[in-house]
Amino acid sequence: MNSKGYKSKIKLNDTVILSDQDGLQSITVQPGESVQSRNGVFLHSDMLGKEYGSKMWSNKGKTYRWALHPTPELWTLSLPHRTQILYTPNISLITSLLELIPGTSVCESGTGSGSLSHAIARTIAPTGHLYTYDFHAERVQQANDEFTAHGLSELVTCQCRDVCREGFNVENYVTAIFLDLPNPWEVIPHCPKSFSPGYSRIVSFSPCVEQIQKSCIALRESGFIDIQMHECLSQQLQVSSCRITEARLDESTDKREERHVLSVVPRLCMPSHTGYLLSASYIKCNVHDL
Amino acid sequence: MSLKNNGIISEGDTALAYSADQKRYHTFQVKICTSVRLWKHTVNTEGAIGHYYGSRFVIRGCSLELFDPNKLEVRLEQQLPSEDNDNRNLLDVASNQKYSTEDIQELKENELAGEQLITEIISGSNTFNEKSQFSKQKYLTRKRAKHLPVIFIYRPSLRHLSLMHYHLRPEKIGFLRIDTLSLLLSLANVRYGSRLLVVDNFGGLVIGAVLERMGGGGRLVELFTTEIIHPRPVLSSFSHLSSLHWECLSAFPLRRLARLREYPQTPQLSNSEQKTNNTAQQPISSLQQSADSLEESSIIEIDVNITQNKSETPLFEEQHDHTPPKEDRYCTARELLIEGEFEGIILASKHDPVPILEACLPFISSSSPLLVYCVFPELISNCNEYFHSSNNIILKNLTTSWLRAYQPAESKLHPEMMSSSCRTGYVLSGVRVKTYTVTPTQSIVTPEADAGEERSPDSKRAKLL
Ligand SMILES: C[S@@+](CC[C@H](N)C(=O)[O-])C[C@H]1O[C@@H](n2cnc3c(N)ncnc32)[C@H](O)[C@@H]1O
Repeated sequence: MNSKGYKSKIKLNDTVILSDQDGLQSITVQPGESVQSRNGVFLHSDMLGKEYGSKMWSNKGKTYRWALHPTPELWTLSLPHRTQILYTPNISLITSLLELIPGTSVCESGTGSGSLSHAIARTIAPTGHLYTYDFHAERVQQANDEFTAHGLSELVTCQCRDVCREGFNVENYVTAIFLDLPNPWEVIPHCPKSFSPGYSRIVSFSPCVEQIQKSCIALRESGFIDIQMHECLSQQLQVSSCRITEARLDESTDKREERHVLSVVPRLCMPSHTGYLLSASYIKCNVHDL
Repeated sequence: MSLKNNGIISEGDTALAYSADQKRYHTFQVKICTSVRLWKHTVNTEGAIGHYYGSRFVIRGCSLELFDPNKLEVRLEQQLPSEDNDNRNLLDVASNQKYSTEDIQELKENELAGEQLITEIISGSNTFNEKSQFSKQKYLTRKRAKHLPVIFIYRPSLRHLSLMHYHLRPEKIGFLRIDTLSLLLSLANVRYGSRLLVVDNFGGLVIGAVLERMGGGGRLVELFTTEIIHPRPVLSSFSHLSSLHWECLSAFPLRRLARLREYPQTPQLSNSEQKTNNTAQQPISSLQQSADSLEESSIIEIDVNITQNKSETPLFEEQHDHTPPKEDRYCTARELLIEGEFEGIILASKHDPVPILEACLPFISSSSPLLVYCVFPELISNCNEYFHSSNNIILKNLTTSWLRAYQPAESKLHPEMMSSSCRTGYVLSGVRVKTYTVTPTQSIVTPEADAGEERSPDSKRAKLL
């Protein structure tokens, strides 16, 4: 997942994503460790030296897993949930709304389960930096362990801090701030001091309309401009082969034409709400200009 | 990896003007002395120079002035909702405004510029004080937008450019809305140092976006489906990218991919040597050969034209300065393709994606994301079938993205009345994994070549395959 790029073979201490029909699971390859499953055991040591994307067989050969190279997107689908997390459809739009590129420095709060943090770190590497904050000490600890395990410790600083009360401990430095916490309007007034001079972006994710309304007031009062609001959902589709029979149009024949057409149809159920994205820009005048 | 300038509007820059009222963008060049046309206004943009990108400016007459919200003289007193008016007493008559259009024009000519003009117009309105707070604000906003339009000046970025092109000509960019484009970039794990294949029939929007996210590090090989690479206005609108960014891009004709697989040439050989070597090795008919060189020369000719028109329609921007000798034009891409091991593909094409994907798969290493974008459900369902019938693609997912814009406000928050951005296409994603069977058609450059060495865990495995 780190910026050092793609590795082709599995090595000791690598994070590997195991995939089967039922889902994804992430492991850190350790000597003597194994993954238990209903139909057999997978020894970590068996994976060493294998190419990423290989099929791994359980010790009895009854079942298999694909061993995949980690990416932030696979991590999002396999990470241990400590909080609600953001998923890739929102994460990707957030990345564009924040205008992240390699080299951008970012503040984020709360860190939560680090789902978004991993995607941000990937995009801003190798010269950007992510400062991420959560007031929950244990989550900070766990997130830090994961960043280290994934080779991201040089890109990410994760700290325990109540950002509603204290803001971020970064000044005149970042050009993007992301908020996913219950009271974003309490953090917004602290944001301008963290921005570097010039143009910066903020995005706040909130599930409820009331949160957005309060944040809107806070954004205006703090001097943010170009305030926009979006909602993005991903609709899962499936392709089904439908049998179409012709209607009988006359009595002379009983034979009816039958054919199959491929059709793209939505799944019956889809997540129909995640949250609203409030975004805005901030222009900070250079201190020397004032 | 830094972009072209330090975030300050400078002479000669290509910038974007954005009108929030109209939700429209306009590209222009920042110049001293010459005026540009921004929608209905002819403006000298000199006033913007030296300010930060992202700032707001008021179009006052024919010049730009930094917009200062503290200088707005007309302010509405905050009222409690209970004290607020409603519209029960409002009558819709022309006499509500005592100034006619001509009068207002005259006021403008009398140098009654700026906020005074707005004050005057409001005092001319008989009904203003009877309006509800909300209507007053709306009235004020409307008058300001009309007489003192405020614009943003932005440096181009993926966000602005995708919004701009979607708004201008959505069909040109294959309805790749910002959410859909962003999803492709995330799922393809585009980052500094990526090594990607891209097929882009949508004006180069995907290519530009990928280059921005690579930040000047990585390899993007474009496989083009046309005879030659045409000038692409969408791609050239990524004018903020530096030469470092453009150097990541190389192109190769898709139609030659098959031949490349059959006769991979060693990269050490110079191009002319390769040619002779080639002829010695392979029995291609002389006819084919001459047709090919003919095609080659026509490419060169057209390319020369493009170079001459550079100032108007840059093709690969500064890349021209680094273009290798002409017969070597695909050399970089060819070498990269021979090395193979691409970390993913984004296939955004108006053609049937299946044959293209089949041709590209051998160049993609295992555990890499595959992304297919199609405008039409018929094409994507075919490709979906292909994904499901392949034994080397997993984590298949077919989605379409839904985006709704709202009017953000502390009260009266609601979705935008009109959505001009309903349409987008389909995203099919998957991850390529290792194949365990070597079919006769698979050639030496495929990563499957070493599949035979794979340890067979036990006899059960054969059954499962
Ligand atoms: C929904 S989670 C964020 C999930 C994260 N975006 C992800 O994708 O994994 C919200 C987090 O904000 C943290 N939080 C709430 N209020 C906070 C505050 N005032 N300061 C710092 N963190 C806070 C919570 O502890 C929680 O972990």
